[in-house]
Amino acid sequence: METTELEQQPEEVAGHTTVPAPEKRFQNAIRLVVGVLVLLILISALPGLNLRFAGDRLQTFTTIFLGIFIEAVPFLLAGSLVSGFIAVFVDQNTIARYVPRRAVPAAFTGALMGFAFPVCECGVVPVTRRLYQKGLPLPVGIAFLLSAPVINPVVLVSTYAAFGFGPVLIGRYVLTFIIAFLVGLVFHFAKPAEVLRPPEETGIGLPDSYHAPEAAAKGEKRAWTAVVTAADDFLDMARYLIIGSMLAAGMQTFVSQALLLQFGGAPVLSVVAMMALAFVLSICSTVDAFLALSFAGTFTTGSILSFLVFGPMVDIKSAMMFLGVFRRRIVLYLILLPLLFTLLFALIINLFLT
Amino acid sequence: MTVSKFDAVVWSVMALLAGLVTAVIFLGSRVGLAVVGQTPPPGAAHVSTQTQIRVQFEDTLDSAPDTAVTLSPFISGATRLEGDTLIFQPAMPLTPDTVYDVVVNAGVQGENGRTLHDPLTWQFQTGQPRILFIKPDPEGPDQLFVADANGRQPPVQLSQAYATVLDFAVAPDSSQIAYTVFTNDQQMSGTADLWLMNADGSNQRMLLACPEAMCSRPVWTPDGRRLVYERREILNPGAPPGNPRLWWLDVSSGQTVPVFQDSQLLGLFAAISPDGRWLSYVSPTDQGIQLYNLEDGSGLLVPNKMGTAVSWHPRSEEIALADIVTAETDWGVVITAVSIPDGDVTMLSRSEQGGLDVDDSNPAWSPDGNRLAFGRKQARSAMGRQLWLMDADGTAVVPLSGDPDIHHSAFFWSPDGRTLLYQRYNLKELYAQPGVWVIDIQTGQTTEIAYPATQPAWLP
Repeated sequence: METTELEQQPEEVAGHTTVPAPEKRFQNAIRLVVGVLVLLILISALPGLNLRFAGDRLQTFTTIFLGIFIEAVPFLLAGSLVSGFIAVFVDQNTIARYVPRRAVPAAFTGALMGFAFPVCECGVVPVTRRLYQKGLPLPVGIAFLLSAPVINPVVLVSTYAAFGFGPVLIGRYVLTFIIAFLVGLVFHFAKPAEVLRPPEETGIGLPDSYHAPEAAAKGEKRAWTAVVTAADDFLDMARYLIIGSMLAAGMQTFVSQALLLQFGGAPVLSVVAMMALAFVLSICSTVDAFLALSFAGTFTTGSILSFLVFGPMVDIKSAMMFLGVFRRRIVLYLILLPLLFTLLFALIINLFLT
Repeated sequence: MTVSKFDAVVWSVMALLAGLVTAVIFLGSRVGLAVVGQTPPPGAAHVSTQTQIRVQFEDTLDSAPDTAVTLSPFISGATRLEGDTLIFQPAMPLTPDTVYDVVVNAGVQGENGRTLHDPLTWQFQTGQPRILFIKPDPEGPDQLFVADANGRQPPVQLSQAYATVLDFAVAPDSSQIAYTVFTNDQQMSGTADLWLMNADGSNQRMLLACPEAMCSRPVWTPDGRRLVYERREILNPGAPPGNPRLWWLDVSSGQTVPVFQDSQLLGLFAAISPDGRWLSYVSPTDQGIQLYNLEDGSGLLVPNKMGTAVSWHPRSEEIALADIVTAETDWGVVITAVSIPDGDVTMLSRSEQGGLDVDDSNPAWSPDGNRLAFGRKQARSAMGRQLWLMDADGTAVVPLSGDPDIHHSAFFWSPDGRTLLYQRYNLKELYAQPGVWVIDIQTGQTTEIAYPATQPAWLP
């Protein structure tokens, strides 16, 4: 049986200690985003460089940014805590024993793991990253990453509250499962080294002071280590969340959403519009059903489903957070594959099933 | 940059997905707007000459060409969209006993972007208009009956009411009948409810319960969605009904509201113009006929001393009504026409000598609006009222009946304008009851439809 690179070098990965984070790269990214935003604000104030108008835009941007960031932070914190405790309390043997490695069972398991780790799209990234560090097979992690924001009890309840038991609820869960499963299968052909960013780039690991055998003897010490690890994870992923939230806020400030909303009844364009909207809005999967409900009267069923399926898998902020786990090329794949699958299924629903 | 096996797999999958998306869009664009059902159904016979053509689609409709529906033999009409249904309203009643070919042309578009790719065609055959009336029954409650216009077949009972049927109104498309039924058998309480049934007598159900009022004289709006009816509150059981007020009733939801916010406004004998823009009613408070514009809320008062129902011109251009006219030494009741919305009054009927010694009533416009049927007797005489005809300008006044012992009333033109339906009553007969008759306008031949029978109406 073919084994992954992580399996071959578990000690190397697990024994890795904290590496200085790429602060300079992060600072450059922040500078670039802020610079582009300032430029956009000034351009939008033209002609005549209406500074008051620019001030209004800046205020709008700030409000949206804070809205997205504050909404996401608790979930990222929860995900980071789970990640920290996984780092300390879950060993590789447990994962090796219980998680299937063959492609189909692995993707199947990953697509349903959200019920064991109920996290939204912000929290799922650090958890996935930590599970990969513990030797989780790639298809399991990818399927989990894409499905967990929807296939979990919290989102099940919120979607039911918004739409009741019917085609939207069923469609959301069936499509999310199928897409996550299929993308997970695709990643069975990959090797961890070509998918995951190397530890020395991500800085993932345990604190230098942590030594497992000694810590194992003291449960208190292990819990504290988990919290410290969670804090590291949180701060590490929060950088990507900040950039993603800024980009999402910028898109919402400067790109007219009314343009997207005029395609509500068109079977093809409505799907494209709602997927674009989901990507731009970057709304948390725990509450997105209530927003989708407001479109239910004017948008096609397929487009509503595409919003509810694609948005939790990939949006601007989660795509940025993917960069903390995956190589850039892989992040592109993680955007395009769910996009194409969702587009295909939503079009089939619109054109042939409704 | 080297391309790994994984990259190759991913790009292959994405290429496959892109191809599938393209194929789905291409094939999806060829999926047309599906039809759920048609009215009248394909192959239907004995269809009402008043029928609408209705086609229900799978989706809410967005647009349709002006010529979306064509009938052969040709008849003009208006097309409109209501939710997922395309409706063609013929401008004139269809011809009886005629096979019609319906074509719904391609181009009808749903809100989801799908269009009807291929024309939809089917056939149906119209029947002969039938006649509705209430048949008094000394043994039980009066019921609603239907009979053929040739009078050869015995009438068929339609309603199965537990108490007397007071009055009724046929829906504009002749598919349903609203009718008034006393609440209980004894009729002591005086309360009456509104009921609804299909034109074939099926699906009889209560439309509006009026436990503390007499709700009666329903009148349909031309779109068949609402009724206006008279409501007389009964404050105590057994007390006489109070003053009439007009109320709206939504047929599908059963929701009912007063026509006017001012609860003191009285109204009776409501009628709605064929174009649906005007509501006319007798206003005892104003001593005249009030015309209320349903679109802009404007009003027009036509002074009238008779206080009887008006007849609307088929094109909603004017109303005809009977009114008392006085001169220095003479007075009579004549038919007048009032133009809408100007309110200009034209006296149409006079005696043959040009005087006012006539007592005219019950004007009824012919379907083409060119003639009027009305009842006439000599003023201040005890003779029976006769059936007369005149042109719309008041000329060519001719009698159709001439028996002073028979009283004629309640005139209704057949949809083709060839026959008049009326009620007659023998004044000389001691225990006479009213009967329902028809007269062929060309030949003058009369036919008894039912006896005893009252309140005749066509079921086109």
